Amino acid sequence: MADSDAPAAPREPPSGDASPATPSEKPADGTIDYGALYDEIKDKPCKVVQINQRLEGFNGGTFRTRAALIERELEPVYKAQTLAEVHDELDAAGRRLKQLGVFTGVHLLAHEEPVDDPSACTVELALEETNWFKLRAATYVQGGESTFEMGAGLRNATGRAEALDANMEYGMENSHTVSVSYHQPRLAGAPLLLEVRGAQLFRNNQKASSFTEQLRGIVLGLKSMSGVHGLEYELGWRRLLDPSRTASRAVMTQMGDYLKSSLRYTATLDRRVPGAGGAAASLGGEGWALRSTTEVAGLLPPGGAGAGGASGELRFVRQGVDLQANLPMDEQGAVVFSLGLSAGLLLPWGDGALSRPTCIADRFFLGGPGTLRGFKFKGIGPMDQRRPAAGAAPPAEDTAEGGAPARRDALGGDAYTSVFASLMFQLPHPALQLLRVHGHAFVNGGNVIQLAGTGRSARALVGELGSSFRWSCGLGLVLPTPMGRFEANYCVVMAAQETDRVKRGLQLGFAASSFL
Amino acid sequence: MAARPDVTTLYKWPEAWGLPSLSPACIQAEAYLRLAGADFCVEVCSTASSSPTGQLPCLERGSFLLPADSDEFASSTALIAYAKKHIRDLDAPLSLGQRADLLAFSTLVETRLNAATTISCWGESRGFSEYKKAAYGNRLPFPLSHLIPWSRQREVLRRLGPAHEDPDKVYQGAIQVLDALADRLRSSGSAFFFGAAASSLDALLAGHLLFYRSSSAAAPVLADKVQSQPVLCEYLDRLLGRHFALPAPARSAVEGAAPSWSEAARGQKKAPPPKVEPSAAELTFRRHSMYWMAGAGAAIVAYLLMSGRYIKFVPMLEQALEGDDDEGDEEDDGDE
Repeated sequence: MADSDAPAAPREPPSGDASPATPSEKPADGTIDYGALYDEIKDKPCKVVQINQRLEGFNGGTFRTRAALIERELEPVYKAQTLAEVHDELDAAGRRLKQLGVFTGVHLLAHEEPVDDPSACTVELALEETNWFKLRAATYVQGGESTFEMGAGLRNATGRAEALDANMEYGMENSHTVSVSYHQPRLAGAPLLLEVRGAQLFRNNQKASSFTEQLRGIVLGLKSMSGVHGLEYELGWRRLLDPSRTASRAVMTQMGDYLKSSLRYTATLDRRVPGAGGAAASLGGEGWALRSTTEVAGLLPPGGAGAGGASGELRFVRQGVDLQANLPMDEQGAVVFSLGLSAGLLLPWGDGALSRPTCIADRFFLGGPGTLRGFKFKGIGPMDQRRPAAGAAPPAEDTAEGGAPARRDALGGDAYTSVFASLMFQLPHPALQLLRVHGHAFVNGGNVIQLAGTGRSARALVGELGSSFRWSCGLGLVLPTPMGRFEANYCVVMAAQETDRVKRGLQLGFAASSFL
Repeated sequence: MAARPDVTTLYKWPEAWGLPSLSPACIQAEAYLRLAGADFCVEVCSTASSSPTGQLPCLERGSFLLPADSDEFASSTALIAYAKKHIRDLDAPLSLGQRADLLAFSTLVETRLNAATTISCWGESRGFSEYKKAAYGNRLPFPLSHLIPWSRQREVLRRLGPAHEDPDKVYQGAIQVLDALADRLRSSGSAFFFGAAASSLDALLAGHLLFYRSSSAAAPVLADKVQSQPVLCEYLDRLLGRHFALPAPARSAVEGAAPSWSEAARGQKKAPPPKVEPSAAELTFRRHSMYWMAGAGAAIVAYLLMSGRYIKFVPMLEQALEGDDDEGDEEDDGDE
């Protein structure tokens, strides 16, 4: 194949990659070392004179994507001057076309035509589109409840690689969301994704905190294509109600209508290697990941005297940080040490803001299999006594054991920290290894305190954060499912406060980590 | 936390136009409580959803909360019924004949005046904008100050149903009722409807009549009718003067401070319980637990050492022996 002296050279068909055209040489042993050849000539001048496009619609239908869009992504290829640059530019162009999210196959092949000009080459581009209509049904865990989602979407209907989706999500605790969204990847050629979403959310927190939340609003977002940065603006109308009329006084004063106008910035650094790390696979792989979320609410529209009573405009700054690190103890990843740290702070701003409690729907809650094992869902933190049922005497302080349980509302807090350190190990039985069930021994700690409206000094509050830290330890089995990690843990609570809702014995639940 | 104090609290819309509340239903509820001489405090809510039941007026008495009803007038009727049963029944001293009249007039008020007031506030564009300004004016930030009244208006008009189509007939019906009431008051000549003592009908009337007389959201035809009947005006002045002279205390004044977190909510630990000396049984139990733990620990150590999987003594000793062989002495066969 390689034994002619003519300038024409054999081609290698790659997939999704560019292949260099090389002049043939005849080494001694009859095989051609393409790598060495490439290194030799990669700095020679070479430019792309033509890109031939072979475009295929879905299942042989018409090709919808606009030519202008493809041209825009291919433009930098023409600027390459040397062979190495052509290679890099073709790689980048292929990546950009894939980021549009509308092609199932992107193939680029560079070859030596026109033959008479050794410094020119031609590129063959083959694109295959996805279907324009998409139906989706999925289940996942969010905010501690299992949710079933159904969605239908139009992908690339007008040819600009946009996506229009309508989703409905139903949660197990009577929460549901209806949303309509529009996505535009690679907005005007920049590596940005534009998202506009209108949603109506109804969330039922009756069991833990005796209130329901209804949020209607629009979200405008700009995210980077790599997923590292995201900026969102949300304008919504939040209504908190208590249909059961059993809310505690602290929750009752929170009911009303609020305007939520907030700007949220999320930065994610994910250095985990998925697929590596054996038992760490359920946590995303070996390595570390860091996410920081900053939200400032109450900027626009300006004015709005509100905030005298319950209703008004929400004004706060909220910062959350999540860190996770997975470290395999040996090469096969049979034993993995994992550490997760989270912290968050919610501070209201404005006149006299710190003298009033923050809105309960913005606060942090801890407790449950995903956040603090050994405690019930939203089981730790400030609590308030609920209104007793009509006709019943108010319950005594310590009726947690025997008789009716003390009915308290979880109020959440403005500052929280949580630590989760676990040693995960694979189980010796091959059937369990096939199911990817593994065991873990863990230590989980956390605390959540209230800041605004307490009238205490910062020093006292920080002291309280440390002194009332809750700890639990235990061991259990973990089964990774598409909906998150399903854990069956036996926990021992080592430090808890009187008002905490402790889950004794075996605790089952889904632990959806903040990164998954 | 101590049991809730037995305070009666009325949740209502804020004051406007010189009236105790901008909503006629809240005026009715407050009027009944004042006429009954009840001890209560008020809590002003800027939107209906800020009230504990999501509807205004709302009554809270100690730990009892009156359930919400479908609309404001139904809520105030339920509130008056509750107050009659548990606070004081103003209609108790009425004779049977008077009770029949009470039922007739109350029904007239509830059917005709309720409809007229509702249409005037919510159906008329001028009435609605005046009502909106008084109710939500500068208390809500911009998009909500339009969105919330608009959604409420849709709800109210939907419940009103076909009456909304023919406001003329509704106003005429209301005017007939007002005329009848004026005639009845003039002929009886007494301070209140059924004599010198107030009854629940006076509370119901107070709501509507005060609203028609003073509110800028009332339809002019109704306002004019009330003002043109001096007997009605005197009746209202008498009511205001005797019973609405002093404003009701706000809830925060009664409770002493803004609702605060309990000690447990703030995470403050209670004083630890006094130390109790362990009993003999407990000491024995602890000792036995220690023995078990020691036994378990010893078993683990023995397994580690003797099973030969982790620490191989025989090869170790063999190596040591080989090392010492040069010296020619034999060591023990290192058995444990």
